[in-house]
Amino acid sequence: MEMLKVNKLVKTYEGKVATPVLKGINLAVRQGEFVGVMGPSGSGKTTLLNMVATIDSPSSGEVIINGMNPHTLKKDKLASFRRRELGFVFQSFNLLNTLTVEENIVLPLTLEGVSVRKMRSDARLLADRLGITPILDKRSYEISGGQMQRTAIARAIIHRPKLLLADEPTGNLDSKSSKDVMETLENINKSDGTTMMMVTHDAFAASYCDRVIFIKDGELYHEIFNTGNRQVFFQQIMDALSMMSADHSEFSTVRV
Amino acid sequence: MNFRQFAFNNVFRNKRTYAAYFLSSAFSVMIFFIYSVIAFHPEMQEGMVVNLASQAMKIAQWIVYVFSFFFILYSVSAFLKTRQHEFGVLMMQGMSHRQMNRLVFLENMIIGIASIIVGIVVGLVMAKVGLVVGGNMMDVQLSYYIAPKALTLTGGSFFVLFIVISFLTQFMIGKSKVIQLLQGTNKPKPEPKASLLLSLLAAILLGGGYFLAATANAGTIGILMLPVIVMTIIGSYFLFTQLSVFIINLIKKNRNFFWRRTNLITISDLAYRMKDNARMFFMVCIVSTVAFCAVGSLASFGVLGKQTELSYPFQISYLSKEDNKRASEHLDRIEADFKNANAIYEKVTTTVLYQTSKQSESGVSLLSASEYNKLAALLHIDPIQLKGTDAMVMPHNFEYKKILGAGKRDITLKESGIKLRSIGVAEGPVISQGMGSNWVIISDEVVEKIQGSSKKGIITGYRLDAWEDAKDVGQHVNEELKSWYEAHAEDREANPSFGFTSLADLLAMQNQMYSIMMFSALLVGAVFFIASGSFLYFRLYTDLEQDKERYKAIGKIGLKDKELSKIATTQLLLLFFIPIIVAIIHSVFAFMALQSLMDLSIAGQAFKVLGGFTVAQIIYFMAIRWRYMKHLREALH
Ligand SMILES: Nc1ncnc2c1ncn2[C@@H]1O[C@H](COP(=O)(O)OP(=O)(O)OP(=O)(O)O)[C@@H](O)[C@H]1O
Ligand SMILES: [Mg+2]
Repeated sequence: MEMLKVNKLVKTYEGKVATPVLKGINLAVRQGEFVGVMGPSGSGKTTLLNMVATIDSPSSGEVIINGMNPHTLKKDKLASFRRRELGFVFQSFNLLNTLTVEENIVLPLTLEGVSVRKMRSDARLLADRLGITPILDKRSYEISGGQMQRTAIARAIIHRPKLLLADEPTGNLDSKSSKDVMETLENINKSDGTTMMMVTHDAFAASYCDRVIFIKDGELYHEIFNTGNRQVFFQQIMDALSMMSADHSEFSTVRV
Repeated sequence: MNFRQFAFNNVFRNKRTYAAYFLSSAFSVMIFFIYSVIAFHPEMQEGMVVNLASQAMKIAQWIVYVFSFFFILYSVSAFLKTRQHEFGVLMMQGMSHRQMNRLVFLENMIIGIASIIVGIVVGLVMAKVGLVVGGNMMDVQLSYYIAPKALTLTGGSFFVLFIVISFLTQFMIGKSKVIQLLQGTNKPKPEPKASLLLSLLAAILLGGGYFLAATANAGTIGILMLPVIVMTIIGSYFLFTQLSVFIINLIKKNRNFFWRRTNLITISDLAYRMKDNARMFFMVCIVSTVAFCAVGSLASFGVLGKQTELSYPFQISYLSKEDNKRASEHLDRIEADFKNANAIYEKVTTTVLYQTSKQSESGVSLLSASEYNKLAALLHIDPIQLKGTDAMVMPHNFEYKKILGAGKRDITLKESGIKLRSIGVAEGPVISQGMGSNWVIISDEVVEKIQGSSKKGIITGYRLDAWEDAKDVGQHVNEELKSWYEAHAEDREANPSFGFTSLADLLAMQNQMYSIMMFSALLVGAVFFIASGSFLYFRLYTDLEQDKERYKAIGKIGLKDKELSKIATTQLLLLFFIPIIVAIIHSVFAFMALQSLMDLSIAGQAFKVLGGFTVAQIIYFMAIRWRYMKHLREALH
């Protein structure tokens, strides 16, 4: 069963010079699959994720999530679609600083009108799992980057979305915190069966995925599958990255 | 946390964001409430002048209301704009448009109700001050009493206002895409394009408007008023949106200046936000101009008191006609009053003749040249010489002087058939206003001839140096006259057989009216002034987060504390004073136009008002600068 299907997705930013950023991406993600997206800076990863997340609309092509094209939905339908099917972890957290950590986490549920008791217990369970129980009552600007990241992840999964999208969820974390976050994501993926798509520059984080796709200049460049051994997969990813950068130009750098 | 709690938390945890919006709403409520308390005060319902004041208050009150509506509407939209990012995040969490509208509606109602409560509670305290100050100005004793109607009117009308505004907010959130909301205010708006044509238009409109205002006279001011106002408003708009950009671009080209020290940062910042700033400048400028002009024009009426003094050379005057049998009784009374007041006075009696002009079919009051010269000597006015049928007209009050100036005309006296030739306007009046009208000075020869055919009147004038002493003099006579008029209110033909005027009495009434208007204007002016201050505050607050980021970035390059302070101060200075300076220039021309209606100079009054506002603005600037710098320094360290 396919959870996500992307057909000939094109995105061009109109401006003084029209910049084609995505040039016809095709992609299919199975239900329960954990997909990593890698590529050089500016290659269009965030743009792709934004299209899938319905944050921005494509110039042409379509996005099918769980059999539906969200871009054709009416506003209110789209709102409840986001609420039920999608979870999103932003590159820059986007927590609301008027709310406490706990309130940030239960935000999607309040919008849905879930009972307070259920919200509380769900939030506590999740906080335990992510190790942020001690900071639940703090305001979002009083916590560290790693804690913010985990809060954002908790907010993205509390309503058990079918598809979780994450833009560099380990971008601001040290290796210990990265490992925690990746293990949490893997755990959610395995035990809840949530389908995931994660943009990352970090080969170590990518090694938790089932499959990693590489994007370059707005096109699919390469993809590799995890055969079960993370060490081996990590090495394959590193090789693919250096191959891609060598192919591009000697001096181009990929932030690894 | 349910949905309503979420709205509550949003408001109460984010006090600073909501503060400006809340405070300006509460302030509007408070002013409206104070007006109502005074207008509905039981002691304000009796007496003609005081009742008029109560009407004036009611009008001022609704001006405040209408203005508050637009002001709060603007505040909400400015406020919602600062929160676009937040709305983007909420939409990503799956908030529907309906829920978003509900959230904003709820927030607004929370703030609205809170500001009604706070506005009224503070108003209850301030009403005490308002009643004392207002009462003093109007010269009535106002006890501390809050009419229930003031409470219900204020609460009710502002509740309606906030419901309507909360309802209108849903059209403001708009249909923006999530990506735009997420980028929110971070996205700079492109600099508006400066068109040479529109810049020129701004200069022409403003120049033309100023020219017309400066050259207006009493005859043309009525026709010119509306076009000049429209020209100035449109001109100001293009001044800020076009001409200013044009000037900034010129400055940018001059590298010697632009690239010198902190100028680079200051000016590029100014240009960067020009689109937002231009609109804000425009609004602050117009609102301030309205405030300056409202208070300024009323303050100018202060000189009317002086004009009145000049129209009453004799502070107490008594007129006795032929059929008056109580003249000596009245005069005794008046002189007894003087004695009681220990006042020293000069007393003059003069005879007037009454005939009718054939040309205008109206009565004329005739004064002989020798009588005129007698009075003129007392008032240090040059004597006149009249021969034969030569005559001079004399204004019956000070303002009438200018109108009389135009045209010479002949007057034929109906009763005696004598044809008088008017040779000019006599300096004057030498007789107090109210003692007669259509004054004509005639030669002593003519007086001889018409003695027989004329009715006569005798005017007794009392002149004092310290005329304030005469405040209570002649009250009885005055009362008698007033009751005569009341008794004969229906009969338009009837004339009393005596007349009485007292400058002190008139001035007291005039002062009372003036104080009432001034009081209302000051309160309205205060509302407008605070509003323009809030526009500035909103502008600053909207940009504060960005400013912090920017200064942080600049700080990394190495910016001394003193330099930071200099850049920020210059920017604030420009923000605060550009629109005010333009508003002051606008107002100066408005006062020049107003001057054409007045005989005495209003420059002093205008200067006081504009000076007062400038001082208030400077204080406001210092306070805001202090807070703003504190925020920036906190962000940097
Ligand atoms: N709003 C926009 N208007 C015009 N061009 C844009 C806009 N947003 C992104 N771009 C361009 O699209 C390209 C892809 O951007 P995108 O953010 O998807 O890159 P990315 O792969 O996520 O990079 P990174 O790894 O640095 O986050 C970039 O070249 C960028 O300049
Ligand atoms: Mg990106």
